[in-house]
Amino acid sequence: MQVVDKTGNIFGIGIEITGPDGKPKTTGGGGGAPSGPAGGDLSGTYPNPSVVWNNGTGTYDLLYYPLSSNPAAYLTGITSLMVTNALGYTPAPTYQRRSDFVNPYQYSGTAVVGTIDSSATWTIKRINFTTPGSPITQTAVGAWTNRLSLIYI
Amino acid sequence: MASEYTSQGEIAITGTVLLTGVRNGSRMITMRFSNPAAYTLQLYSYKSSTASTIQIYDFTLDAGDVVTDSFAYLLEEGDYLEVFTDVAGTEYYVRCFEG
Repeated sequence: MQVVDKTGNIFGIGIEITGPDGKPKTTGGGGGAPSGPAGGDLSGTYPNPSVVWNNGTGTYDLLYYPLSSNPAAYLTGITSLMVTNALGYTPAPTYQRRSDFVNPYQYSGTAVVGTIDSSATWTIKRINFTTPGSPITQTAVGAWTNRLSLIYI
Repeated sequence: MASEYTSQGEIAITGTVLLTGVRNGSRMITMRFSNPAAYTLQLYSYKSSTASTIQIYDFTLDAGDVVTDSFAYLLEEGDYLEVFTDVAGTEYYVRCFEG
C-alpha cells in the first residue's frame, strides 16, 4: 500500500488507514524528513538544528567540558562547583607534604598535590623547640622554598 | 447557527462532491472511505476565490482498507471537496457542519 500525497508526504495525524482487520496500517518510510524552525532545546532550522545548551547559548557550557579531555576549559569554566563522589559527599583533596628541620625549628608544609615548591600556596607550620617541653606552633602561607624567611603568626 | 449533518453513499467513478461551502462557511469534520476491493482514492479541494483545484491526497489502497480523515477542512462559500475512486463500490461517510 502506498499512502502519500502529491508532494510525497506520508500522512499521519488526522488521516488513518486501517486494514480489513481494523488495525492501523503502517507505511514504509514513516514520514519525510523534518523541516522548519526548531524549538525546545534546539535552535536553527531542520534538518540541521543546533543544540541550545544549559547556558542558553549554542556553545558548550561547563557541564559539557569534560575534565578528562578538556581540563583547561573545565577549569576556566568553573565558578562555583561542588564536586561530590559516588557516596554523595565532597571528598577531601589530596595533599602533599614537606618537612624540614632547621634548628630550632621544625617545618611542616602541606599543599595540594601538584603544587610546586615555589608556589605561594603552601601552608607551613613551624614548631619552635627553643623551650624544651613547650613547643610553639606558628603558621604561615607562602612558598615552601621561602619557609625560612616567612612571617609566622 | 451551524448545523451538523452526516451523509453516506457510494462514490461515483466520475467523482462525488462531499461538501460545498455555504454562505457562512462549512467545516468537514470526518470523512471515512472503504471498499472491499483494492481501490484508489483521490481527494480534491476546489477554491472558489481562485477558481483552482488542488489535490489533497491520492491513496492506493488494499482490499478492505478503511481511510478515516479527521482533518477539519474549512470551506468558504463556493468551495467544495470532491472525491474520486477507480473502483465501484467505494463507500463514503462524512460528518460536517454548515453555516
